Amino acid sequence: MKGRNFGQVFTWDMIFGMGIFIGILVLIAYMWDSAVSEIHDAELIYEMGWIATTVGEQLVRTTGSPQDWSGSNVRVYGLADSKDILGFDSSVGRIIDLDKLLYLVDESYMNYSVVRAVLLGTSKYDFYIEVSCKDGTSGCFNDIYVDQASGLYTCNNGFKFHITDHITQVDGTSCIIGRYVQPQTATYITHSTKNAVFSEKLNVSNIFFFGEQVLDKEIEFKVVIYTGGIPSKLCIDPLEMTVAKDKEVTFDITATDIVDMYAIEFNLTYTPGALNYSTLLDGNFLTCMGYPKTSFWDYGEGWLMYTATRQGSVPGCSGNGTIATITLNATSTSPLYLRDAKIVDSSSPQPKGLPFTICIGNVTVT
Amino acid sequence: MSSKGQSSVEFIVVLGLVLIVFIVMGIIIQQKIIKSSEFKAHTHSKRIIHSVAKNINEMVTVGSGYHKCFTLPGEIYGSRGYNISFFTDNPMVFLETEDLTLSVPISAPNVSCEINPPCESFTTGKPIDVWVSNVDGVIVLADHGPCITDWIGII
Repeated sequence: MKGRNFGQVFTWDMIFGMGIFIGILVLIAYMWDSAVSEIHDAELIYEMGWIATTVGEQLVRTTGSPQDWSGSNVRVYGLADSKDILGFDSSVGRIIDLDKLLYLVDESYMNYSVVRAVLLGTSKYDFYIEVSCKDGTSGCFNDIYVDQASGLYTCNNGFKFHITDHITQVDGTSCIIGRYVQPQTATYITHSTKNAVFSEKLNVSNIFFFGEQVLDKEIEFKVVIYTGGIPSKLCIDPLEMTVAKDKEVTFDITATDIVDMYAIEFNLTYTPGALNYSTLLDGNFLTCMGYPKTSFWDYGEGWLMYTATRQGSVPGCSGNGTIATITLNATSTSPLYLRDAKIVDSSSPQPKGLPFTICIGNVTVT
Repeated sequence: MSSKGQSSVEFIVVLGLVLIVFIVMGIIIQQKIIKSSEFKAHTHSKRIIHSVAKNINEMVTVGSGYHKCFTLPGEIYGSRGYNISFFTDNPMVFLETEDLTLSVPISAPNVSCEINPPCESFTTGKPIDVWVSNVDGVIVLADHGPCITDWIGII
């Protein structure tokens, strides 16, 4: 009987009850954190969506400041043309002044951080704007008269505007202004700092203004705002190469600051005839920790396609490394583009796309 | 007697444990409430600054001669005052509280703020109707009395 006295207050029932109580408490704390995290993500998306809309509308509907800004004196970016209405220079919304677009392209290529600061303020986001023709060709950029811009203007993806005698000719299909990241993660939202959060707004279609005549050349602006820190890069290394005519040029495709890469694919494109495929040496990045991989590549006139993947239920590879080493025969100068590149992680059963930025290269033949 | 003593010690131990659990719980809940409160205040501040920027941008877009009215709250969540600032040749609107500074880019490099109380010390505690207009390309924020309509989209 004496022994039973110990159980009057300190019993297993009490310990069990306290365990349940603490368990419920922990569960509530977890649910609270989850709810706050979701609200935080929703707020982030709202804010980025707001900025994407605002930036897009600002660019296509306002003239910027000063009204005839050029690269050096800009205070506010706006691409709309202006017209004298009742003695006032008024903006003509959704009609683009190509001179201003070229200045923005140039500034963004030369000094992304300054453009970012003017467009996005002190926010922590990055951006890119994809400018393309509504009909999917590059026709809307060709044979346009520009007042002041001259020479060569290069977009951040290598798209080029050549201005000769005030008339444009372009090389490429769409121009990226800003810091481009692969769009396959555009709908992938997570609170993790390892991944990106995107907000994407396909903004408007526009037409160029030519004197008093409105040209029927519609273009689209897709403004993409993103965050999350994207140090990962897929690059051509070295970026700039100089080689004698009819000699071979060799470069690496490198991955930098990658986290959990399980598979990769990309297309390397170049000017047909200027460069020709010679050899491809498979890199060893995806064989990390000793696990094997499979890879495949094919090539044709002006392009080379490469895919590689690890095998089975193994983790992905992280860090820096070489994906492939490529040798081409050079006959004339050509840019090197990495297009349609995708990197996925080791998530099972559905791998997730990883965000990363891309570098473009150039081969100069002397 | 000895049985009574054992029971009391056990009771004190159990009470101590329960107290520790409740104290820890209280601290956790308090921290979470503080975080939530800060988050709400931050979100509210963002809504306000976005609203100001949106109305200014709208004025820039539509051009000279247009005006509209919108309402700014007298304080942000948690009865905190706030300041709205503009700087010459700087296309930004700034919102400051005691522990927070936000900025959002706007389409106008210069904004003239003529409301009362002034933008720089906006701590009325009461909502204020602000008229924003484009006067020959200059954006003016002014206090011209209440908005005519019941409530114009803000916050």
